[in-house]
Amino acid sequence: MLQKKGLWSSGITGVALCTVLASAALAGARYGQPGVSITPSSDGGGRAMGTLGGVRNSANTRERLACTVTRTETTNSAGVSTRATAVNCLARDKDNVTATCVSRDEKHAAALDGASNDSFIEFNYDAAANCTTIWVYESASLERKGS
Amino acid sequence: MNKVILTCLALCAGGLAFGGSRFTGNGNVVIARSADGSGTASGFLGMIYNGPAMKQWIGCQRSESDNVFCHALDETGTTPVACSVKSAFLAKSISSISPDARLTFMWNAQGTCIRIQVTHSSEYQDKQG
Repeated sequence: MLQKKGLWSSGITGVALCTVLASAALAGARYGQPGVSITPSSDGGGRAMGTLGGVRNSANTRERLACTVTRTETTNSAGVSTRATAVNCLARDKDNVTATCVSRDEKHAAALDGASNDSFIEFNYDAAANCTTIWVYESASLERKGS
Repeated sequence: MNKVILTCLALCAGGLAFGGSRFTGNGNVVIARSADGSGTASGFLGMIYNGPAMKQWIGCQRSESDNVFCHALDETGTTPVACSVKSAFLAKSISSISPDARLTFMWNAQGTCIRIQVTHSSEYQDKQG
């Protein structure tokens, strides 16, 4: 996934060099995508991604990246359960461009079950802002949130 | 090469400026009780841990048998709220709670957990120290 999305390619050159140098002096390799990256598609959909740590630590006050999973289960007097899942992801980059997606598909919620405090999250969406694919990446190299 | 290193150090220092968008609330536990005994509790785990308030807490647990238990106490420190349920469906959400998450749970009049909501956001403070 990372190579497919160019994580180690041109867009990261400066930061990658920075992190490699930093890692030589400190500890293991570090990676923090500098902020939110939103790539619209010609069909009205697109892709948004970033690391929670890198976005929080970014150099401006606009960028944000978040996903919410809501699961609801009610059981009636006959013992019949009704389940509902709601997923909402949103992103805003340094230029104030926003992207969002929603889903009621449990598979998208399941993908986000692996998210933690410093995850890399990528969500893809169609022209109607439906989530189409969600990636969650965890690694030793991901930048931690600053205070 | 020295110029490159200096540039990189500057970039690193810039990265330590911690300037991304922030959630500006206090993150405290908020409990809403309804007359029929149902209710909702929410809170921001990292902010609660880092904040000055000393009484409040919020959390959930699950077992291998999908037993779920959630509880919370707000800063008034008077009466905690709690709910439980045996649900493989809701138990999945417990597994996604991280130290910086916003956690919300809802219970019905019987004290059964009926909703768990977890948000991961770059805007939420991680636990410090």
